[in-house]
Amino acid sequence: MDEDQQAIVDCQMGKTESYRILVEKYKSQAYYAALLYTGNREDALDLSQEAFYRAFRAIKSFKLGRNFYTWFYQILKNLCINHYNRIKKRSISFSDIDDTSNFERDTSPIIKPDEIFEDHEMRTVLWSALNRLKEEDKEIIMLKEFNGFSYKEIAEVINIPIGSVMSRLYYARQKLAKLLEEML
Amino acid sequence: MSLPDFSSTDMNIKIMAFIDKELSTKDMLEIKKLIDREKLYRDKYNELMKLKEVTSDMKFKKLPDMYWDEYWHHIYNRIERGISWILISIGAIIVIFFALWGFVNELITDQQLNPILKIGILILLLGAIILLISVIREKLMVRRLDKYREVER
Repeated sequence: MDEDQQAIVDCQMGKTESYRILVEKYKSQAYYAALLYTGNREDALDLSQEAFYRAFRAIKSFKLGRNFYTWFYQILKNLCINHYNRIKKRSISFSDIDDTSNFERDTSPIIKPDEIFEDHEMRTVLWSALNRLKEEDKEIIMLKEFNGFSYKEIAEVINIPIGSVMSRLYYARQKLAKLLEEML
Repeated sequence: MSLPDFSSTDMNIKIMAFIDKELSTKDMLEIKKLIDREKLYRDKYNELMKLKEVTSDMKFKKLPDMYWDEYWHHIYNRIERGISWILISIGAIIVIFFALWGFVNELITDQQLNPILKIGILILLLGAIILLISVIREKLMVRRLDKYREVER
């Protein structure tokens, strides 16, 4: 039994301190995954910590043999989507107050790439190209490139066969490359 | 040596998996040989590699160490608070149950109260209890059946 599985068994028996092993191992992956959704440090910290807390609460339902991080990632992703939707709703209600404008507003929360990535000449272009992709294409690229998931792990997270992961990732990358070419 | 019988998309996907190091050792060697030998595959390899380099070059903004040092403590505090809420809830349920029990007992034994009013109060209480149980049961059923329950619609 590997370290993760042993820690989970201990947690299922009520040993809270064993959970620390999992948190220490995955905290940075979790934080950066949340940062991609929130675009700011405070929310990414809060959501990733909340996801760890919720995962601990649900640890008894964890089926041994599964990958802990892909299971945890689904909890984190749902929390981040809820957070994103709440911000979106809030920005819609604010824009409703201003009845002088009739034009369609973009109510998506603005996430700036400089809050997420270190300084890089391609940072803004890449981020804007990613945001022009369909949500499912953007997600699969982010899972592979920025969350560092293997094909097998992506298959587990989005619940599709590995073959579909490969073809979906390939087409998403093709679209991204085309967009980058147009933008440069 | 003839080219493997892959449609061009299949081959391109294999090249992508080669770049991602997601193939078996045998397949990695085979694809490497093909890339070295065939210009068509080499071009595809270079094209995919260019994109890979762009994304791999992106580095996340570092979080100051003090946040990492405190990280576990924040989670531990949430776990501790969660446990205290569970205990508070159990305590509150027990206290409310006993208060209700005492109230109903007193109501039944009170000789001065009009019997019709007694029946009215008891029916009201019964209705409230059934309503509460129904809401709790519905919440639990939704929790068990709806796999997207964590996502707010």
